[in-house]
Amino acid sequence: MLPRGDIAESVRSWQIGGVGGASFDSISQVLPFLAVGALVCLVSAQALNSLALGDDIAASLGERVFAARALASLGAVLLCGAATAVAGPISFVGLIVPHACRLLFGVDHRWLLPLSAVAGAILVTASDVIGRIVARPDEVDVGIVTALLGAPFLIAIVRRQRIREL
Amino acid sequence: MIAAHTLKAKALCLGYRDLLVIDALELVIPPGRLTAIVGANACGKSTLLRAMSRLLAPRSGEVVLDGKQVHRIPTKELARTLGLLPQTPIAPDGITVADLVGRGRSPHRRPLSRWSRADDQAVAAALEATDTLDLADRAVDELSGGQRQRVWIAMALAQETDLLLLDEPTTFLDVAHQLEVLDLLAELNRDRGTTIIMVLHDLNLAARYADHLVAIAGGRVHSAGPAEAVLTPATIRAVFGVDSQVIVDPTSGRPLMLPIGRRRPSPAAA
Repeated sequence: MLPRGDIAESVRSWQIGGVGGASFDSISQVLPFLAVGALVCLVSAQALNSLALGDDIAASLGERVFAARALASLGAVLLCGAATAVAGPISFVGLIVPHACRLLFGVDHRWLLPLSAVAGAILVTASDVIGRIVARPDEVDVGIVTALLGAPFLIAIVRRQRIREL
Repeated sequence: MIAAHTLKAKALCLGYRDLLVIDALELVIPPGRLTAIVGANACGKSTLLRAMSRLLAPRSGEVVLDGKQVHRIPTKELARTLGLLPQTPIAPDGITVADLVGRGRSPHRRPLSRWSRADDQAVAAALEATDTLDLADRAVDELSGGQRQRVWIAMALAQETDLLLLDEPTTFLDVAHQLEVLDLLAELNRDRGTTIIMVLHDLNLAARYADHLVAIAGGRVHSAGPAEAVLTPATIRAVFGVDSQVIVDPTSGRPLMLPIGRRRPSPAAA
């Protein structure tokens, strides 16, 4: 590590995300991006429902496939970018939460997207709490906790899909 | 809902990269009838179907629906008139039948709009027509091949289009399920007046169910018309390169093709 502890800390925060440094100041800076991103995602939920049936069916249902996919991606990039700017890279949340929500609530994106947003917030908050409890008086960054929770979950999903393919 | 839509291909050329698959093809689809497109593997049947439903842009020439080029019609508007069921559609894991069929309503809806009574009625009617009402709450991936195909057809019906294009709707189905699907399509054609255009592999089933048969060879329409006119030994020879006998199907009165292979056991002496 770098000899100066304060710099090392800030470098590390870009490698492992945490919500400890979040403040209303930093959140208000990215709020417009979050708002626009959320709106774009909600508007494209119905198009995502069609795209989930494959490009041909989506097109025959009147979706402009490329435009719909570009719009949905733009929404996702805005949300991810804004969240990462505040909290740094918190891994696995985006991998676990939508899959878990799909198993729990079904495949309709008009529900899946807002429910994933709420469930993601719950997971991050819970992970942060766990990180503060297990290493008292220090704390484990939330990005480490989510990785610990997420990796087994990801393996389980991959295995499940492989079993289904058999 | 019966409106006579005219769908035509004019001097249509289609291809992928360097390969020209359909070459200056002319085709008129008779409205309100059941049309089957037949031809050898890789003759461009599916390509033609994709172009007619604007999934593939023509190299030259045009596909015209009611006097307008399909590629110029706004995509949602076209989706309310013409539906396509591709060959092997994929259903998302765990989706229920009702949810899948409901997605057929999307060309009739606006983003963030609420589910309407008309949507409900269309889905219920589609489930009933395809005899899948009992399956509404089941997951699509639990169903048998025949049930699944009926569910996909239900989704296309919920779209409430006057024209329905299907790419080999009977592939991978056993004979009972093949008949089930084709009977269903024939009923839709009769009861709702839906113009049906399907690519079929089985010549005899095509001859039995279609009012209008189109045989494709060499990137063009080799012959088109009623089954009796199209399903002849000469056409089968030209389109498939196979010698055959054509007799009259004792059940349907339609032509029935019997291929003659190279290994020909001689008939037992009488």
